[in-house]
Amino acid sequence: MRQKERNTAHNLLPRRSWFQINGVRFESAYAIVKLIAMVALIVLLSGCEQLGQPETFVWTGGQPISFRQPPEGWERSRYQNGGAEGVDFVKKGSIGEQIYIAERFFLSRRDRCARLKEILHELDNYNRNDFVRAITRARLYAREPINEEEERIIPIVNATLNRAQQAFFENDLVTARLEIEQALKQAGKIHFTINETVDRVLFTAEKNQVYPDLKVQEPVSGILADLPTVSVDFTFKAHGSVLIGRRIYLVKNNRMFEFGYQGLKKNLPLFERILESVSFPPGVCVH
Amino acid sequence: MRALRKRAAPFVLSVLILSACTPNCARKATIRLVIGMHHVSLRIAEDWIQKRKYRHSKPGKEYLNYGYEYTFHHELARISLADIGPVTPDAYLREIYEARELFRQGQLKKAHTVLWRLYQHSAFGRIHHIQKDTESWRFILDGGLYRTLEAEEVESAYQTVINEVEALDTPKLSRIVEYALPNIGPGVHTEILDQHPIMINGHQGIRLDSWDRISHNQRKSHLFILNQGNLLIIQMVYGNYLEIKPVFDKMVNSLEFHSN
Repeated sequence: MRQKERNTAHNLLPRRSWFQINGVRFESAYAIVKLIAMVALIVLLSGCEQLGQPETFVWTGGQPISFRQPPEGWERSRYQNGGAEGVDFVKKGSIGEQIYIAERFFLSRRDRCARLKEILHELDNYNRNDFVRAITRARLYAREPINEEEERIIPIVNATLNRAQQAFFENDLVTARLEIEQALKQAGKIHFTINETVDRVLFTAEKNQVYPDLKVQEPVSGILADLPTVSVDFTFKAHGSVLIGRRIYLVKNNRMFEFGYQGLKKNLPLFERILESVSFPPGVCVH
Repeated sequence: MRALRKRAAPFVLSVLILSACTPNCARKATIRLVIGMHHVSLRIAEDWIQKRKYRHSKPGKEYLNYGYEYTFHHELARISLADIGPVTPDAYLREIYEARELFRQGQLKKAHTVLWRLYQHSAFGRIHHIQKDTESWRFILDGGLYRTLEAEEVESAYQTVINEVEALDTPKLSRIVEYALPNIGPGVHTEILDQHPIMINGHQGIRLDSWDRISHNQRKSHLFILNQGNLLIIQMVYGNYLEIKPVFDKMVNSLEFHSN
């Protein structure tokens, strides 16, 4: 009797159908759905900290910079602060954690390479007034030269531009072009290093008294994108937590770039991963 | 059967949730608009169309600039369509012929209005470097409205202006767009991200994307289309680019021009 009942019960149970996908046996459609959901969850969780696509920015002109964006959850905005221009990422729903990458334009303002190239490009289209205006804007000046090279080369470049202007007034565009090219070549010999320039912008306790309980460490040298850097670490208190800050400076093609982080220690590796993705595509000029 | 239902429930639920999240699920409506001299129809999600409070209410604030601009709103997002006026010599001639016809019919004030609108138009004279401050222009703008002028003098002035405009070459659309771009919003900090030609319902157009040069925020799409010599601009004005893009694309792909 029991055997009969068992047989009957067995016949009443729905037959398990199964199918194979790529050699993997699934007992039912429900099993497939479960597997898909698990994979999606794993991808979602692992994708949370994935950096975004690389983007290339050109701020003050002349030298592009490319880096990968922070992942979802960091709000992007302009960073325009204290003589710098760049992009800022602030973590949503956090206590003001911030990553920014910017260019300090006190160096790029000294560079006239892009303007000289523009004059060469438009030389045949200028009238007298426009040319004079363009040459005036292309002259080099430095109230306080950063190094001896700059001090020596500025008068040479400006004298060359004076000759170019004179040639233009005499309708001798060939000579004018040659002189401007010479000025461009001379200006390209001016070269700034990080050690010559960083003191003007270095993060110090004296300049940043707005940070509560600020403790700044000694600057250290390093390397980023195969370029020498100077970096400063600091800590301060905010919203009942101790936050970590870091500022890294480097000079590429006579432009100073600044990389900044302030926030919790756990997000510092994310900032370091972004730094690893930094690169400098070729710019308009080369020094 | 109960077991099957139990297993299928999460699957069905996932499908329902996914379809609810799909951005294109909102109901669409076809709407016909007259923007300046462009008679167009396009499809857009219904929640972007302003509802009138009462059947006989006047239209809301969608129409701006004396009917030369129309704006679609959705929460804070905005897409606008604007006719920025004639930008080719043929279109200029159309306006001048219309003004001359009105002058011949004795409708001096209307003739003046048509000409003044063209004269003041920022494209006129900028794209083609037309000399506007000439005696001929002064004659036809006046047309006898403010001082006594012989009809022959005015007709002769019209013909001089027509001859000048007929001698102009038709600019490329890219040149027109180059002129129009600074005038429609993008400012000093905007850079063009992407630009490519496009055909919309048999009309030549250019679609370009712009964003903030410094932060790469505020990405917007702009579409410039030439229709009968007038430039129609469709652009994102406010809002999140990724949220508005499907609506904008749908609008652009469904755009049709109709005869007046």
